[in-house]
Amino acid sequence: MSRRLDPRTVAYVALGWLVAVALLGLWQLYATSAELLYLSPFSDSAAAMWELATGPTLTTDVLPSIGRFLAGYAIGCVVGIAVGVPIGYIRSLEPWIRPVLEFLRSLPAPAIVPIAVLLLGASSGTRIAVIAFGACWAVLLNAIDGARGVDPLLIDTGRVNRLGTAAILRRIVIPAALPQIFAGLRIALGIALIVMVFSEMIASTSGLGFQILTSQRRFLVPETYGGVLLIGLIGWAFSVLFLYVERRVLSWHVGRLGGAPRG
Amino acid sequence: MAEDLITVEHIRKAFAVGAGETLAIGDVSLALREREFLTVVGPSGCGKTTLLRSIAGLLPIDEGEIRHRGRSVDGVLPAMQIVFQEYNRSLFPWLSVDRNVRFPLKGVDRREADERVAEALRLVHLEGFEGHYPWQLSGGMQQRVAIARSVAARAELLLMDEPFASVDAQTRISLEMMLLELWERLGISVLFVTHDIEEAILLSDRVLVLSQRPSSVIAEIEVDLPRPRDQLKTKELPRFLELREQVYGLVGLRGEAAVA
Repeated sequence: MSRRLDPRTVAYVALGWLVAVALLGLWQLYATSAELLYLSPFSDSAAAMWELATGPTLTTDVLPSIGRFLAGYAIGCVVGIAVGVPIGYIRSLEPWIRPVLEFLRSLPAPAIVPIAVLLLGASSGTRIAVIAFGACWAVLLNAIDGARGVDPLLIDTGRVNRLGTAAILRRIVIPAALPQIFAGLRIALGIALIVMVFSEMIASTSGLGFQILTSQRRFLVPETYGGVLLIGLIGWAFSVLFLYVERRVLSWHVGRLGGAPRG
Repeated sequence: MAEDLITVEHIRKAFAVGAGETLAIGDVSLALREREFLTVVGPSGCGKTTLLRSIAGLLPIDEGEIRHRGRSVDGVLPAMQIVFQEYNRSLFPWLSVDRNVRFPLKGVDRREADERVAEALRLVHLEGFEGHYPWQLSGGMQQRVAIARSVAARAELLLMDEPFASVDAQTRISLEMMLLELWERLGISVLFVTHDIEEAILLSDRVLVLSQRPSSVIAEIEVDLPRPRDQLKTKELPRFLELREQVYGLVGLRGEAAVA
């Protein structure tokens, strides 16, 4: 952080924000001048978002949503890594399960929400399970590819040092596959958010998705927009946090590639 | 005469290629004595690397036996480290230099591990580079990290697969001298593989010449040159030139016979 800021970078960042502010201004101007029934101005939407994020809904909807999102995401990631790494490392396993994996991965997670509700009930745990299901595939497939691509010489070095399979996976394969695993984690983050919102729109009584749908049905237009804004902000905050973590964990990788940190 | 550390008897190794198989090692026997510097030379593609990996226990052999101090070994040799030609692929890119060197020391008391890592880095002249990552170092320095890792692990046997083939000539000279220094100081045994005949003679006590694939040992040459060896003086000795001519003949003749 003590690095000196490059004036050109500052200019680019400032320009980006300027465009964002300009778009919000356009929204505000258009909505207030046209007085459309189903478009609330940015100011009203932002106020509704603030109310949603700070009022009683904070504990009844916002935080439970974030909690389910994080729990589902974490479970999906752990399962994806724990299953994907051994599959990638033990190459002979892969042909057996590849078709099944490809099918399950292609299944849009929102599509299984109704089935999950039927099977598991309309509980918070069901929603977490569906989020985990949605998140795990990107991680799993990237973990398989990453583990399969580990340089055999590194594995040999582990074997020369008499490491068992578990130690080779933990000390060599997982760290070596980490750049690719992180690519999967990043995709999974977006998917987890989508599934969270959607799962709360079906057979639900709380959560951000529920709030948005309910507001819309009651013609509470600013509240509907506010809910969407809040979800956008939450997603944005998590992806910023994710990039920060990724850059720290993979600093060796970024340096090795010789490029500036991406982002 | 010193006791044999490693005995290799009549090993054979084939690789499946399509429906058939390619015989990489026909029939190789050799013995590596305690504290010996033994080098295997042979033409490119004669199966030197396969031989080294088979002896290490990284590749299963089809026939024959490998013994460590007289006891048959199935699997990876004990107290052994390998230095590969591809230094940029055998170091862990996510670990700093000191952590790479420390890699084999899992389970060793922390203070002792610290000391061993510091000593190993000192012996390969890499003090001050502890916090660097492998990709921040030159090829020669990376190879020294790999050697330091073997030193820290207290390997009694070092298998080296063309370790200096991918560095520039000057770096190579300094690495060769450093290796000889380490070998004498630590009292380890080295099994070295190279296609460079001068390097083989300069470093070794004995040189084994391999044939074209399927490989077998076609000659064993005692290198009766005085130690310590020197890049210039040793290479100017009449005896060095004689040995060089002899080995060149052995390698070259076989090569031509195979082409014809």
